[in-house]
Amino acid sequence: MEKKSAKEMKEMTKAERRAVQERQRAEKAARAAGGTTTKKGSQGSATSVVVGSTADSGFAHQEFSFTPEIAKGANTSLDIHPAVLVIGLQIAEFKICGANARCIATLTAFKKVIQDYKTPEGTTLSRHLPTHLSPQIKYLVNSRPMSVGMGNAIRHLKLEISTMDIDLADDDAKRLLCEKIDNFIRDRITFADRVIVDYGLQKIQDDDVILTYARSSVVQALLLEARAKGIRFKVIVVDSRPRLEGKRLLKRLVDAGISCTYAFLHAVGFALKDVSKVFLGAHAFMSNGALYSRVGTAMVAMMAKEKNIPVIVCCETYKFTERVQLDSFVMNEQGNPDEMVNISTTSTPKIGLLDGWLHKPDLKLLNLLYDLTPSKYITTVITEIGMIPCTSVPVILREYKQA
Amino acid sequence: MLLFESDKKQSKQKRYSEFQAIVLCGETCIYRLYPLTEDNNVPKALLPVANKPMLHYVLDWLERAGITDVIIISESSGEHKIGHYIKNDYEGKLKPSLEIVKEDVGTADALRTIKDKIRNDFIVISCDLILDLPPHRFLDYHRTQEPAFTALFYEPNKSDGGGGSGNNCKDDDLKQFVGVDMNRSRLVYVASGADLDEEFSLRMSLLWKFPRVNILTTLQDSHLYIFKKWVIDLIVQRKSISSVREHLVPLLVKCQYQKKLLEREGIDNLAKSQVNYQKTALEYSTTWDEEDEDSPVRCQVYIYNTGFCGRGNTVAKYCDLNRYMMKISTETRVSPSAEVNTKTQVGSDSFVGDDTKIDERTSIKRSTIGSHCIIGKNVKISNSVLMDNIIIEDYVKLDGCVVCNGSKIMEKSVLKDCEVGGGYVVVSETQTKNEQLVEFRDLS
Repeated sequence: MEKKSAKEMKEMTKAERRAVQERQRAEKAARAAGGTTTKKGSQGSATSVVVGSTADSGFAHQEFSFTPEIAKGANTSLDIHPAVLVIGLQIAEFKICGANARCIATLTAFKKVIQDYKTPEGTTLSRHLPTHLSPQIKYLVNSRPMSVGMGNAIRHLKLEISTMDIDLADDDAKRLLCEKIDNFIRDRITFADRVIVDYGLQKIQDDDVILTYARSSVVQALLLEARAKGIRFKVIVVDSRPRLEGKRLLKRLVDAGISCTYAFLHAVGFALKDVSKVFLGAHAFMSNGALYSRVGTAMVAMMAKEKNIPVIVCCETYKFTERVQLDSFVMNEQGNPDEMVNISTTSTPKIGLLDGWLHKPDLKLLNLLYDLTPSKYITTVITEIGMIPCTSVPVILREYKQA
Repeated sequence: MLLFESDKKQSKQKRYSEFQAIVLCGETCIYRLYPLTEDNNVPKALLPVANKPMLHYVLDWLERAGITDVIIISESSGEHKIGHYIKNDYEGKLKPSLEIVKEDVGTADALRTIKDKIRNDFIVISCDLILDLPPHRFLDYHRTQEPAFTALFYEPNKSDGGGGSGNNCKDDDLKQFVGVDMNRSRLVYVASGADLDEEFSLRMSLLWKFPRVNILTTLQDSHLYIFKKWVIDLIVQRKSISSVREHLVPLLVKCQYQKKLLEREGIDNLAKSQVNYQKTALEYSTTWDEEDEDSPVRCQVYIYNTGFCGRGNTVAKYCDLNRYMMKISTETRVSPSAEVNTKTQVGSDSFVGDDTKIDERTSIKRSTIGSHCIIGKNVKISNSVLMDNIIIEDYVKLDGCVVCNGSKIMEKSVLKDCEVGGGYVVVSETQTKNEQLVEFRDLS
């Protein structure tokens, strides 16, 4: 069985890596079938199989089979616009990471697509443009599953396209659409963030100790603004592998002159000792008031609640969704398991014990990206329309639909 | 029957050209390929590898990369032959345009002459490059990082040796010292062995910016680069930049850490002029580092050591390319119009071109034979490259030779590791080793 070096694995595309892993899993399954296995039983009902169980050899394969594959070099036949191609690659490589960043990047790329678009003869812009955008959207979904905010933004864009006036000239229609996209970004992300920061400033007082998890663009803006306003406070940044996003937040805050502490997730119980407030960011908010955010958020929120520390979530309204989710497993995204092998916290990789996990028959790595925080652990949500309890999310959605 | 026929032809969206490709067919350092590229033979771009010109492989790679806008730059000496090839013999789907520059002009000077035709980010590729790297990998690498340029460096395969007299060049002067920051795949230092004596120095500013640098001597520059559009503006501004490899690349590499150089050459203004429209998105990204914004110039390097990559800029390397293509090519080996006698042995890895006649009891091993050749009886050809219109009489032995167009080798000659120039007649019973046999041309 060939051993692939870490560098070689990185050079293959995700699709090839997946193929290699599938092949090796199949080989392992064949070997396991030869030996005696007692665990053939639980063919995974979705909720009953818990991460900690001694690995059922089919576990990761069955439950989390929504592994993303990047469309390989198929640009010549699919006619993907280069802006979308670049975005797809950068999102898949986690160069652009974070709900707001991905949404802004996608919308900016689509703006370019619309600017370069030409309505063909015999059809109108409002009919043909959505079909023109579909392969681009499919390509993006293929490179990495879309975030909830992105989905909402694209739905909004499609609505705007379909209600476009047929009599408008091509150029005017395109200009109008680009304006609408700019307005969406401005109103629901950029300005929304500013309003959230304003509301959030009311919650930060002198001598506060604030805890935050990983890196949220809104929370970062809030803390920097609070510092600029001269409020005296301390920050504890809790971080987790493999993304280590908190490190970059830490650098930003320290550069701004805030006194910070840095801890890993396993120390959160201890780190919460003197904390007065917890600020968290969001990827999405479900209709049952549950928060869908970076994996580890649920743990932080739960521990904070146990100690009666208020948990404040900063979330723009475009991230609200009608979906209802009860736990983290029913819908999640799997990252690249090989990221977990590198245990270094600096830029030079350091291989840990998990190296060669592909060859160990009973070992599977699971790298989940998101988790769900039930509503009972969240004290309040700051949105651009005010501070609401998390159970009011469906009310807001209803209001937007009627508007 | 329809009442009115709808126009079935829907006008397709115009193809978005993201990259332009520029193929350099210059003849700098022609002494390395002497005598294959003399006037009575073919220009370097059309030297056959497995009976297809080298240019074909480059164009094929570009076609697979999905690039539609290709410009071929050639010197005036090769204009007709290359133009003829593109119009008539080229079988691919690209429609390259041909530009002519003066003789003996540097690579960057050549780019300067066509500056008006360059509208996007552009790929510079040399006509003698053959590589099996899937093009989208290299392009995706550039697209993700969006650096000022991406260069491809490869580890040359061990040569099987043989082929050509080896008189032309010593490989030492092609050795390169390449400094790479492996974690971020940045190119931080590039110098050729010829320029350095016994030691080389690194600036402290380099080490402040890139604390961990690997210096490698096993890498070769493949002369395949992807540049951002503003680089051509830089070339236009600085007339002193004459060669891409010798001047432009080291300059940009130094600009990554030398702030004063950046400002003095005005490069920072140029680089900032091409603004990344995804700037806002990147600032919101959780994986974005402020130090990414430090220097506007970034030089990425893609190190390719998992497959074959080779350049044909010396005779020995040209023979290596032929050997490689012989091993992996899936084209038909023996052309259907060739007449090969039943008693001859043509090895399974050899190529025989159109209309070639091979007589009995001849054996051909690991060689490529071009079209319209006439090969006599009892000839032993091994490890050689024969081009078109060659006459080989009986009882000749060729081992590791390169024979150019229109030459004639008379009977009972034995040539080992030789190059026979175009139109040369090797008299009968010649026995030579390690020679270059060229027709005497009165240069006066």
